[in-house]
Amino acid sequence: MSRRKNNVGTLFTPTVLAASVVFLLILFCTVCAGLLAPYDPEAIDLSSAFSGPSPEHLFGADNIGRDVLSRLLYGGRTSITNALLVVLVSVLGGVPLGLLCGYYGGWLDSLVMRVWDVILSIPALLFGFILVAMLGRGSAASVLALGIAYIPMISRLARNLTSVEKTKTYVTAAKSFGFSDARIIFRQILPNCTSTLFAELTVDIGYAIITLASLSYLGLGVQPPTSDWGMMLQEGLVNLRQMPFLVVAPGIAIVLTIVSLNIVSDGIQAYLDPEQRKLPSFRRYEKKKHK
Amino acid sequence: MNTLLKVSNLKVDFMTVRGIVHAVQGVDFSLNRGKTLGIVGESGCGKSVLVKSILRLHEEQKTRCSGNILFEGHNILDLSPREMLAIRGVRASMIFQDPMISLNPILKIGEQIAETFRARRSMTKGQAAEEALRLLKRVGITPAEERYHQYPFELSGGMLQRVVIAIAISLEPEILIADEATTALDMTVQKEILDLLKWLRKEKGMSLIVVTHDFGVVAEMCDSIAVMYAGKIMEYGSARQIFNDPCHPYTRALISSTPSGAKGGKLISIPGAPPELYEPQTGCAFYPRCSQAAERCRESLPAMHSASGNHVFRCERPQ
Amino acid sequence: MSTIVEVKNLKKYYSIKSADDRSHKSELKAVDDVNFLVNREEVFGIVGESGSGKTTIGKLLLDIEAPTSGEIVFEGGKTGKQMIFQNPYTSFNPALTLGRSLEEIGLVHKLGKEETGKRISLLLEQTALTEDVLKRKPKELSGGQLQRLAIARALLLRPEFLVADEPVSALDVSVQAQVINLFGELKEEYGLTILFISHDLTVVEYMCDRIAVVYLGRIVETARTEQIFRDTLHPYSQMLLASRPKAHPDDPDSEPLENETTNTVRIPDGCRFFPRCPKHISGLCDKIDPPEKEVFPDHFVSCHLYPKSPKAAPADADAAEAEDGTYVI
Repeated sequence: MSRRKNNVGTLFTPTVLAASVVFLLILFCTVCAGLLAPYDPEAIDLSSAFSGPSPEHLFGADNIGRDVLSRLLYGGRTSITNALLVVLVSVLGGVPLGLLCGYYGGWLDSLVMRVWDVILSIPALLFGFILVAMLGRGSAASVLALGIAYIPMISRLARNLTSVEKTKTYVTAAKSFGFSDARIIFRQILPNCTSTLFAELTVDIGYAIITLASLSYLGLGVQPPTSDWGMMLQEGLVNLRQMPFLVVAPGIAIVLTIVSLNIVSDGIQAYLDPEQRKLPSFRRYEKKKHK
Repeated sequence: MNTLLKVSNLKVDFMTVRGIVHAVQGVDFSLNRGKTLGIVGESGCGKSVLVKSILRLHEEQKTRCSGNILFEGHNILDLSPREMLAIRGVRASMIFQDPMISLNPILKIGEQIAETFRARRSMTKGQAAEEALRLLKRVGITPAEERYHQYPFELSGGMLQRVVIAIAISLEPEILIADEATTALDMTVQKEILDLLKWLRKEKGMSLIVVTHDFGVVAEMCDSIAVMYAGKIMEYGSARQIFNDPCHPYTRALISSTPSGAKGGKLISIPGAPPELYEPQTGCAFYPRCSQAAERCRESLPAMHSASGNHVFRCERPQ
Repeated sequence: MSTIVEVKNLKKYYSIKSADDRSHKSELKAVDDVNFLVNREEVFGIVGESGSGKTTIGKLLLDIEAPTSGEIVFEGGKTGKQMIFQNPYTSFNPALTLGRSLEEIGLVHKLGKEETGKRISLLLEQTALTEDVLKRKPKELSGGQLQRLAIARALLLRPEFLVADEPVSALDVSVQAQVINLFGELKEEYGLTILFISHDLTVVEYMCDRIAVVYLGRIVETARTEQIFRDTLHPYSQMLLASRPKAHPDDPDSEPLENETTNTVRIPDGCRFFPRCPKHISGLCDKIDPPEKEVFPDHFVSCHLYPKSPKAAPADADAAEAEDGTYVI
């Protein structure tokens, strides 16, 4: 009987560690925007318009003198929260549907999956446009639109995982014990899919941040005075010549968030797979054990 | 002396997510030309690891080997990756339980064999195809001309295992290692494959190492037998010695737990399960499951004792 | 002796798409007109190779699959039959603790928490396992422990009839013995009837009271175990016996099998075994499907090589003989 924990090797390889630190830092700063931001992000102070970095404004101020650091923090909060909401919507819609399609197969599966093929052939952003056009612009509409746009991806993954799981003997065994289909799907199959789904969702949060930013950039997402990173990009672009930093700052924020999320997600997946996990060298392991 | 392979004090450790597994803990044996050695034991006893290290098939970064594997005087463990290429598949090859490990699912089976000839024997396309077809016939694949153009998924497990054997012997190796190669096959197919291996041994003078948990296969095939437990050889001898006069309690228990004959009383079973090999052992590894265990078995590692001639066993309290 | 299961003309066909022509569908006759009955408290063995349909028979008996046609008469309640699978690691849900896997069954069948717990404790004791296995996930147990737990799981609802599909093939010999012994003990304890599906003649010979040999979806020979091993009639059964590896290195080498195994999904006309049969009679075996005959009392075989025993079915013996007479040798 194997009572040993499979805890040799680490999730936190130097890269993953750095990425997690970066992401947690971003998360912490944006969540605590209210505490950390030196100014009200919407406070206009024309006297310091276009001022470069200074002790008063660490990252400078924009065309109408709003503090860039404060706007980055608050904007990040909006971006990340909305991205999480997008993923939540897509999970609530996509996972149950995917489980059902994968388990029952047949015409339901063919139909749903063909519809998803069509939707997935349209870029998520474009699909967002269409839905926003139907639902109206604004934060809630864009979150809902993207959430729906992501359903195909999530449900296809859930469906593929389920169609593999359902052929396994434990499902046959559950059937032979008279388990209902609902019980088999949600209490037997679903627990076997969660870790893969989770890794996928981490990446999706990153995508959602980009796409939401794009919608905001185009003026379809959050509406002023609320702001997110996409909105900041758009506003900065007008003043690109005077102060390129107004574009660079939110751009860097977006890239850092997404790259760090991707690295963390890959790291988790590699850690969960005993074949892929990064293990210490013999010498290092034995040295540590002797201590 | 006609020793082809001599393994001495071989140790193999693996780094895993649960710690270091001491899979092989000092194994010695030798194999003569044209002879068959059987390695038997329960799953997890290290038998598969042992034979894979002969071809150095382990992931090098996570493996640590020490000792000697002398193949015609050269220590396999010291060879460069380039030198290994001249041995692996050429002078020693291996077949596995799942034939698909060794096959490419998207290539026609004939082409896969022909490919070996073209790459290793620098034959022309035509020559290689001809040679491949001849080989398919030799391993009993009928109708060979038709099968040549089929893909692996079109063939049954037994046929695939024949194809794998064809590839394995294509360069006429001196050693063929069969790692549970017939375990997943039907009884009648197993017999055919075993007959094929016997024929190869006779015809080509090939040496065989048969890794199995099935004493029937060993009785059928082997000249000598090594019984492995927890990374060590517990008993070694000729097939006849092991079957007629098993000395180690583990060997005896294995032989008597095989059901034979009609319905009868209880079978003798070995209680418990083999140990995990994360920690180095202080006493006899079989001690917790042994019916003859005594206090000293727990305290000190048993030494190898000689029963007669080549027949040795690792136990302090044989009956 | 009373009967617990009777299977009449059972058929299960799957439609498969052929590899070359996807529009062309053909039928895979996994189980093709199978008849047998199982007596109470006996161990009935079904022996055959892969593709013989033996696992499908088990699934049909447990209603996991629906038959294409035919009838299964089962004298027992809805929870009266359970199945044990070949590989315990895949037959338990890898994501759940074993305790949870067992409790779910109690939950589904509304046994109540207390009763479920009581039954689990008793079964753990009977299968020589400790309570702490319940907190573990399947991969933390050895194969033997897990298969014993699989047997405990199957007995949780107190069935009368167990279908055991290759229950020891995935286990080491040393552990096989533990599980085989356990079957023996629990059979006595619970008065079980067991349908034991296996490809391993040695295990079947040891375990079973009666045996049916199946080949490509059809039973070719049925008899009591000692009878079938003494007077093996069907050439296929003989071939199976001859392929057993020898038990001792000094035993004489067996003859090589005369005919190659063929890779047939397509069932031939006439006797389905004739292409592999070393004794087939051309003009007869390749044309006419042999009927089942009782050659010795309770020893049935479907093969043209054997005349119908005069002792069998005296009522219509004349008619049968006239019918058979044309081609019996």
